[in-house]
Amino acid sequence: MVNEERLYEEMNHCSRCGTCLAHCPVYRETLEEQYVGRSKVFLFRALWEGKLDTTGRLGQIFDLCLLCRSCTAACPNGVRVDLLVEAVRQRYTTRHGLSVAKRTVLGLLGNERSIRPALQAGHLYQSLGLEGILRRFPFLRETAPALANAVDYVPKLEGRPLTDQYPEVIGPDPESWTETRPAKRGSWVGGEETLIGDATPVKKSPEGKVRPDRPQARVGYFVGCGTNYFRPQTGRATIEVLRHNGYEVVIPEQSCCGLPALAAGDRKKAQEMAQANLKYFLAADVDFIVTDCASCGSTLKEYGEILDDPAVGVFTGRVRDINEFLVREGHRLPEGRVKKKVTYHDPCHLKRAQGIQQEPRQLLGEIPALQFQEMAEADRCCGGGGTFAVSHWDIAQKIGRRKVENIRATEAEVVATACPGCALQIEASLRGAGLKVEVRHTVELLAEAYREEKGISPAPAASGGVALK
Amino acid sequence: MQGLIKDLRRIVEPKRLLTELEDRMAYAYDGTFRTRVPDLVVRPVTTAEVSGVLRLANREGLPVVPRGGATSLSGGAVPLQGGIVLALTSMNRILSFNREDLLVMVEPGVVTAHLHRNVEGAGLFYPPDPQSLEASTLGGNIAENAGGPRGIKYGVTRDYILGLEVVLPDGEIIQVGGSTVKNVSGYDLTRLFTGSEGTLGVITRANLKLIPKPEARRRLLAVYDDLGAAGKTVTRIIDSGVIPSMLEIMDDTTIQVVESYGHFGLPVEAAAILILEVDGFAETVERQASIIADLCRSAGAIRLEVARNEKEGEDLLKARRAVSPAVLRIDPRKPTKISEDATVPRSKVPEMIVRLKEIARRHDVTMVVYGHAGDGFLHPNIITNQDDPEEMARAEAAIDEVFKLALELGGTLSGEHGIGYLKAPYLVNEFGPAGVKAMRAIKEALDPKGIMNPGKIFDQGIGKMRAPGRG
Ligand SMILES: Cc1cc2nc3c(=O)[nH]c(=O)nc-3n(C[C@H](O)[C@H](O)[C@H](O)COP(=O)(O)OP(=O)(O)OC[C@H]3O[C@@H](n4cnc5c(N)ncnc54)[C@H](O)[C@@H]3O)c2cc1C
Ligand code: SF4
Ligand code: SF4
Repeated sequence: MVNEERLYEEMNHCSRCGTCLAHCPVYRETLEEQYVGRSKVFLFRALWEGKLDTTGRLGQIFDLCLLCRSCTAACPNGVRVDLLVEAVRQRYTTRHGLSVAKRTVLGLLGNERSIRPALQAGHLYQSLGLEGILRRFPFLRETAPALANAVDYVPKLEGRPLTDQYPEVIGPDPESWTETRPAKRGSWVGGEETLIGDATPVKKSPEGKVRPDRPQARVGYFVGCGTNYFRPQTGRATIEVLRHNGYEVVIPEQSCCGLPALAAGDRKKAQEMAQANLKYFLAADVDFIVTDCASCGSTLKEYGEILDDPAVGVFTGRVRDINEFLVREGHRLPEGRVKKKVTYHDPCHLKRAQGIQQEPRQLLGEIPALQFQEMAEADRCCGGGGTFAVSHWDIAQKIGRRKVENIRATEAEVVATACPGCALQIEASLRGAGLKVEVRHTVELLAEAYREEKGISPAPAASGGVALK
Repeated sequence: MQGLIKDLRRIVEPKRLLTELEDRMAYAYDGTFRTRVPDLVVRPVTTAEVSGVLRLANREGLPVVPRGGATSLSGGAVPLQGGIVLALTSMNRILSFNREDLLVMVEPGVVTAHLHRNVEGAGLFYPPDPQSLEASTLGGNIAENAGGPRGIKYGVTRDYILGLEVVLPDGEIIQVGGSTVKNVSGYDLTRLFTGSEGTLGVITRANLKLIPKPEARRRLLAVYDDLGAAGKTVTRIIDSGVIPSMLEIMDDTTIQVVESYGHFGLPVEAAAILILEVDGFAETVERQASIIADLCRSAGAIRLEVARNEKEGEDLLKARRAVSPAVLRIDPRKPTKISEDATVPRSKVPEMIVRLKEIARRHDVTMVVYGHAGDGFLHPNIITNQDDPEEMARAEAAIDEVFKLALELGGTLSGEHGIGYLKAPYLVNEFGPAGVKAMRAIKEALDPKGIMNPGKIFDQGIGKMRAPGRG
């Protein structure tokens, strides 16, 4: 739990050495001390000591943070500036309520019933354009700047979330499933196995539970809003890859992970969301909780910091990022060729928040014919930061431009990443720079390789075209 | 103030003038513990803007404090008496790069490491390497005459400054030095402004000298069970004709602290370790490394490791880099670190270490000692708690003695970090009243109204300050 004591400790650990200046993406674009971690710690102290209140510029300053933890990773004292930022935002929200733009976004994410019409509205928006919308819905004028940015930001919408495209339980691909592994096609890598009875290898769940009835684990898929609403193609690939490796996929009822609420300072809402997810996923009796969203993954793994529930440890112990899951629990080496030059961007919430950087590179490296080219500053924040990109368009774009130049220098045709948030931001930045490079999640490339080996191509149709079960 | 703000708006774009409390607050500090919120912050982008601001401030008699990365460890960038902080981070262009003349011209806000990467990409080398180089600026390096581990072989910032553009307190813009290595015209004002800690004017441009980048380097680690033997190695190496490009020492307390923090495989029973580096042409590097290895052994090193490649070389430095964070975690009840940089002639390093330990014992303070032994530069760090007046009093008494000791051994108060406000009360001990008077005369001639960074270098009777704030 993040309590006052913890915040006090974080604040006291800052020695004002200035190391974070070199690493904060916001500072590096603005070169204004206000926005760097060191200043946020200092201002936090002033607030703590009552030398500042929340009426002035404080909120705007603390709004300019991507929660990317670049500062923490470089800080000799490991100061968690992001926790202080969340705490300040929380005070703001309690005191002044959420800004209109944030209220809109959070309201949508927290509420299944309102996001569907919103997706349809998004469709409408993309066909009408901003002026058309404002003519029809004048009350939206207040959010016009944010909306205008959102137009540039949001990809072509499918109009139907991923979770509408699948049943709740999806069995493993029957073809890929055999009593004894390794299976017919491709050799199996990674994962610890236990032999039972007649030497059938089985998987153990994180708690050591053996499921002799199934050769592979039962995986709860946490879809995440970004994948569900904006990049369902990633979700389809995740499901495909899991099934191909003989895993059973379960998509229980679920809520947003809570990060957008937390980032906006709405801790209560985040707690409600976390509690709901805890309930749904524990009830689903899954061995693992897997997600293809780095931000969701880091948030789910850190539920212990916002929930007091005794079951929280069981939940967090099961959470895996999809890259981590495939490498650690095992997957088949792909045999289909993907003849593309690919580079990779490290999502902040994967590398720094979860310490995962080798796994996605390993998966890419295993794909035959794929030519991997590391980019400079691969782990530098792309500038997305959730709603940051929409509310601080200019700075986010500047940060994004640097990423684009690093991508350009690799001459890659595809930039792979492992977070739908990064994917959206990088796509928008590439579009802005007029650079034609595809943005794909690592699992999308892996799925393509598996498909290629089975002779199925191209990718399944955009919506609803997947015949399953 | 309102009138001044209006005038300033005519000089810089409105967004480059910060007036709100929250914004100004972020310019109240540097790497030391005293703070004061400035009245205004200006973020100029051109020399003309700097000149305009200084002219106005001079008219009003308002203090002006230049600020780069604010990593100073002597308090240089803290606006002790309020006034205007001139934040120079946006004057960050590398203006020209002349390969043939081995010259580069920069604005003051260029980050040190950024320059390193740029010139090294072209096979050249700018050696000054303060350990804060990813955040510090060249303006701040010049104003503090910063040095680093490479100082032993390559010297410090001042050895690479050929010329400067400086805005004087009345707004006049002058050029000092030039673009040549040899230059004896007139007084050497370049050296005067180098290390002036922002008290004489604002550096707005600098001509820096580069050298070819050494082709290869090699690192070694030597472990001792006797501090004297480590000290003897240092003096012998200096006699041997090999000049290492790095010669770092860590005492027993530092080793234990670092080891418990990070498990680098250092022998916790050791009395001292040396980390050494040699560089040059590939052939000579081998030879230098073997001479040094022999010297270490014959001086009594109980263990010697020679890095075989870059990666192993980097690993050797990890323990050294961990010192700073490790020191802060020694004792959760003692979160305050007072880092001094007293420096003595190289031959006195062993004696200095032994006597520093005595001081720590006598005053019952936690002290770790490490530093660039090769150039006599030591970092005695006292770990204390600023909220505990009794502890702070002991720490302060110990520091008084550290300074006295350094001077007694023929050394100086500060080898790298500058005087700032922290060491101002001690300046007279090093130079005597007449010495300080001569310095003051220079200050008064160039800055008659005393607007440039008041309270730094010269003691203003604020006293020895272990005042509230954090370190
Ligand atoms: C972790 C850490 C490690 C360090 N290691 C070293 C080290 O190894 N060696 C070393 O020498 N120092 C070291 N330092 C101290 C510090 O980094 C140096 O003094 C550095 O040169 C300061 O640069 P800056 O840009 O941060 O300057 P600031 O702190 O912003 O300013 C320093 C002084 O220079 C003045 N100044 C800044 N810019 C100008 C300008 N353009 N014109 C006139 N005056 C100006 C300021 O008024 C102030 O008095 C270290 C500090 C830290 C925090
Ligand atoms: S790197 Fe850490 S300790 Fe240093 S200034 Fe930033 S937050 Fe503070
Ligand atoms: S979390 Fe990222 S954006 Fe926020 S202060 Fe740290 S480095 Fe800067």
